[in-house]
Amino acid sequence: MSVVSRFWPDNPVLTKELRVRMRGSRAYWILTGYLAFLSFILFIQYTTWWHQARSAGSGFSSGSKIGQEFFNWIFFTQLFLVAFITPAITSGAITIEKEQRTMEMLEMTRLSRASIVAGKLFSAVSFVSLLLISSLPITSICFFLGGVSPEEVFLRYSLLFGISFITATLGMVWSSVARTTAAAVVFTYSSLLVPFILLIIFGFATSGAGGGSGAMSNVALLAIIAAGMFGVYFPETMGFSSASGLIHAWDMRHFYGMTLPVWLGPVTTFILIGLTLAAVAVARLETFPERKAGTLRLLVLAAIAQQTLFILGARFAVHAGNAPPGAAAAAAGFPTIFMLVYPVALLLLAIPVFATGEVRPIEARKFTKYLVSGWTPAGLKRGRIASGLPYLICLALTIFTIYVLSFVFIGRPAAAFKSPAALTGQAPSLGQVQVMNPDGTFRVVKTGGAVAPPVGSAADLAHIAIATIAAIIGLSSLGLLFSVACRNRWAALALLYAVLLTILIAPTIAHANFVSRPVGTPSVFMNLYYLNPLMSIAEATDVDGRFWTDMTVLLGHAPFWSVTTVLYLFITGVSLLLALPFVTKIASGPVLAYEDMAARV
Amino acid sequence: MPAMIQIRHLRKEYKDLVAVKDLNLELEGGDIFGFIGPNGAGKTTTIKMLATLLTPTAGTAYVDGVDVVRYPEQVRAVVGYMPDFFGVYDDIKVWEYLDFFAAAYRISKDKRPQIIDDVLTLTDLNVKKDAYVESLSRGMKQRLCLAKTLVHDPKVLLLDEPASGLDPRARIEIKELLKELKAMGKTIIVSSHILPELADFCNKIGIIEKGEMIVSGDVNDIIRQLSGAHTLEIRILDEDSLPPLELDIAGLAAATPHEGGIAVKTTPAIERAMTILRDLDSVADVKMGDNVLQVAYVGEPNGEWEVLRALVREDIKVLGFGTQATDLEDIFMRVTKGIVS
Repeated sequence: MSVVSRFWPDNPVLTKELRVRMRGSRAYWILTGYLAFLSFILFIQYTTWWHQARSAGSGFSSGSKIGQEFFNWIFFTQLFLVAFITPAITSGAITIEKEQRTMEMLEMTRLSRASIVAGKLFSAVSFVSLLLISSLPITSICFFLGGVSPEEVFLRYSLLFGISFITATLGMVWSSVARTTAAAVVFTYSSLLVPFILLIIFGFATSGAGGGSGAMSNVALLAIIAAGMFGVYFPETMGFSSASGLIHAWDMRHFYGMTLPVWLGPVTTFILIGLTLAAVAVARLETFPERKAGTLRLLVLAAIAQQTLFILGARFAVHAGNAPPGAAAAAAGFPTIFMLVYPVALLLLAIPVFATGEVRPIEARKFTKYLVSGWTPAGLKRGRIASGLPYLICLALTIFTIYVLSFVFIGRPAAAFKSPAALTGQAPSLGQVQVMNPDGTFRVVKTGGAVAPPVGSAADLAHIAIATIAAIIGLSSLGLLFSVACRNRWAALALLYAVLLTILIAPTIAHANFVSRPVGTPSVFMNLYYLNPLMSIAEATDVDGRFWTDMTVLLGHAPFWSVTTVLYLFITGVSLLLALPFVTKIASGPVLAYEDMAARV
Repeated sequence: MPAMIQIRHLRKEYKDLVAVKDLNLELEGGDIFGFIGPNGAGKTTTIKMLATLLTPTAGTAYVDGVDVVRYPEQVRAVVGYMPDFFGVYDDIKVWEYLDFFAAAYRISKDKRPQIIDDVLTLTDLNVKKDAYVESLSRGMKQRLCLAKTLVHDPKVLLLDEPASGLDPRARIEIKELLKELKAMGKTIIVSSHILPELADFCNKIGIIEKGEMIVSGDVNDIIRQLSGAHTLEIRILDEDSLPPLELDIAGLAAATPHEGGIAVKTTPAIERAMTILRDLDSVADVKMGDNVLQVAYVGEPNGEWEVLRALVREDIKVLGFGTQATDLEDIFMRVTKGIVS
C-alpha cells in the first residue's frame, strides 16, 4: 500500500463520490462555466476601467487601486458562486439515496452515519475546492496590478473555503431531514437567509441593551467586532469615529495581548458552525437521535466558548500589554463587561432548542426522578428535555468563567473581583504597534497616553450572572410546559421562540416609539424589558446615566437584574404548576417497548 | 442450538394502521422460510424490523441471539438484506459497486478483490464486471443486488420479493441461486406474494394476512394439517363406453361433441366403484370430477393401499391411483378466505 493510502481514510462513501463526481462531462462543464463567469466579470471590470482611463486622462485610478478593486470583484463573485453551488451539491446528497432507494442498503452496512455524512461532505467540499483553486490563475492578475498582499489572498480564500464548508453542512442538514431533494433544496436556500434574519434580531435585542441613544455606539462597536468573527470587515471611514480606535486595536489579530493570524477568528468560527451542523445531520440519520446528543452539545458548547473567547479577547486586548494606539481612548466609553451582550444573546437564542422536547410516559411516571437524572454527567449526554436546563446553565457558566479567566489571561487576575478602579491608571504600554489597514496594508503607529478603560465590577458580574441564569431557568420551565402541553417538539420549539423574540423585540419597538413621540404614557410592552437579561448588562454598563432616559417602566428605577430574577422565578413556579396536570396525563399513557431504551443507551 | 431468528409478540403500528400484530416466529440455522402474503400484509414491515431498519412498537426480535433494537450494529453484521425495491448508483461499474459495499462492511482492502470475484461467480455476473451498473438488465440488477448482499458472508439473508417483476427466465435464475445459497447453509427468509415460487426450496412457511401470521411452520406439516382429509384421485376404466373417458376428450376435440358433456357423467362402472368406496370406513366422501373419482381419505396415514385393494377385489379396472398434489396456492386460498370475506 502506498503512503497516501495509509493516511487516506478508507471511507467508501468518499471513494465512490469522488469516482462518480468526475465521471462524465458534467464536472468539466461546471468548471468551465465557473471560470468563464469569473473571466467575464473581470473582463467587464477591465473594459470599464480602460474606458474610464481613456476618457478621464490623468484622473484614472492607479494600478494598485484597480488591483484591489478587481480582487474584491473576484472575491464577491466567488463568494456568491460558492454559496450557491455548494448547497446545491450537498442538499441532494442524502435525499438522492432516499429517492433512489439506496439509503436502506447503505444503512444496513456497518458504515456509521458519521462516515456517510463525512464522505459526502468531503467530496462536495473538495469539488468546490477544485473550483476555487482553479480560479487562482485569474486571481493572480491582481498581483500584476498590485495593491493585494499574499496574506489578504490567503485570508479571502480561507473565508471562501469556510463559506463552502458551512453551506455544505447546511445543505447536508436539510438533506438528512427532508424526504425529497426538491424540498431539501428549497429549505436549504431559504435557510441561507437565516443569518440575515438573525442579524436583525440581534440588532433589536442589543439595541435595547444599548440604553439611551448616546450609548448606541457601544452596540455598533460590538456588532462590528462580532461581524469580524465571520470575516466581515468595516473600513475605518465608516463614521464610527469613537470606535475606530478600538476596531484598529483589534483588527482581527489582537486578542488578550496575543497577535494571531488574521484568518484564525473567522476560520475557527466557520469550522465550529460547520461541525455543529454536520453533527445535526448525523444525529438526524440515527434511529435514536438522542444518542448523538452528547457530541452535538459539546460542539455547541465549543462554538459558544470560541465566540466568547474571541469577542472578550478583542476587548481585553486593550488592557493587555501590547495594546495598540488609540484603543484605550476608544475603550474609555466602552465598558468591558458590555462585551457579554454578544455571548449572552447567543445563549438566549439557543434556549428553545435545548429546553423543548418530548416527555415520554415512562419518564412522566417518575417525573421528579427523571428531572433529577438530567443533572448527572450521563444525563447531560442525552438529548432529553430533563438535561436541557443543566446544559444551558453549563453554557452560561462557561461564558462567565471565560469572562473571569480573561483577567487571568491578561495577567491581572485580581482585577476581576475588584471595583472598576482596579484597572484605573494602568496605561496601555507605550511604543510602536503595527496596525492593518482595511485595505490590507500595514502601518506603524505610536501609542497614545494612559486612559483608564472602565471595567464592570464584580458585583455587576454577579448581578448579570444571576439574571441570566434566572432567565434560563424561567424560559426552560416555560419550554417544559409547552412541551408537555403540545406533546409535539416542533410546536413547543416554535412557541418558545415566539415568546423569546417577543421579549427581545417588542419592548425595543415600544421604546423607540416612545422616544420619537415622548407624549403620554408609553406602551405597556416596554415593561417586557424586565424579561430581557441583556438589560441587566446595559444597566451595569451605564456610565453616564443615559440608560434611564425615556425608560418609563412600572417599577421606576428598581435595578433590572433583581426584577428580572424575581419575575423569572415566578414564571418558573407557575409553569411547573401548570405542567403538572399534563405530566400526569402523559404518565397515564401506555409505555411503548424500547421507549426506555432511547433514553438509556 | 439457539434459534437463529426469534420473534416474539412483534407489533408495528403506524399512525392509524397496525401493520404487524403479535407476530411470533422461530427459525433455526439453515432454515429457509417462505413468507407468504398478499401485498400490504406486513411482510416488508416484518423483514425491515428484523433488518434493524424499523423499530417495533412492541415485542422483541433476535437475530443470532442479538436484540435487533438494542444492538443494531451487531445484527447488521450477520444479516444480508435485499429490499423489494432498490436503486443502483449511476456512473458506477459493477465491481466498484461491490467494492463500495465490501468497504462499507469493513472488509479490508486486500481481501476485497477475491470476494468480489467470488460473489460475481456465484451470481453469474463475471462477464459484466467492468460494465456500468445502469446498463444491466433488470434480472442482472437483481442478481447484482443479491451479490452485494453476500459480500460480508452473512449468516442470515432477508430477501424481500427477490423475484418480483422478473421475466420467467430471470426468475428461474434467481431460484437456482437461492437453492445454491440454501446449500451453503444460510438461514433465509424470503417473501413473496406468489406461492409456487417458494414451494420448491422452503422448508418452512408462514402465511401473513392483514398483519397477522395465520399459519406458520414446516411446509409438510402445514400441508397435512390444512388439507385435513387428503384427496385420492382414482381413474377407472369405464366399460360401457370404450374408449376410456380420457381418450374421449381427445375424440371430442377431433370430431363431434360428445352428448351430455363429460364432467359429471356417471356410468354403471363408476356408480359401482362409488358404492364400494362409500362403504369403506376410511373414506368420507366420493365425488366425480374431471373424469376422476375424488375420494376424501380419512383413514390411517399410509393406509391408502387398502382402498385400492377394495376396488381391485371387486374387479373394478383401475387405471390410475394417486394422492392429489396439494398445492400451496390452494392452501393459501383456503386459509385466507375467511379473513378476506
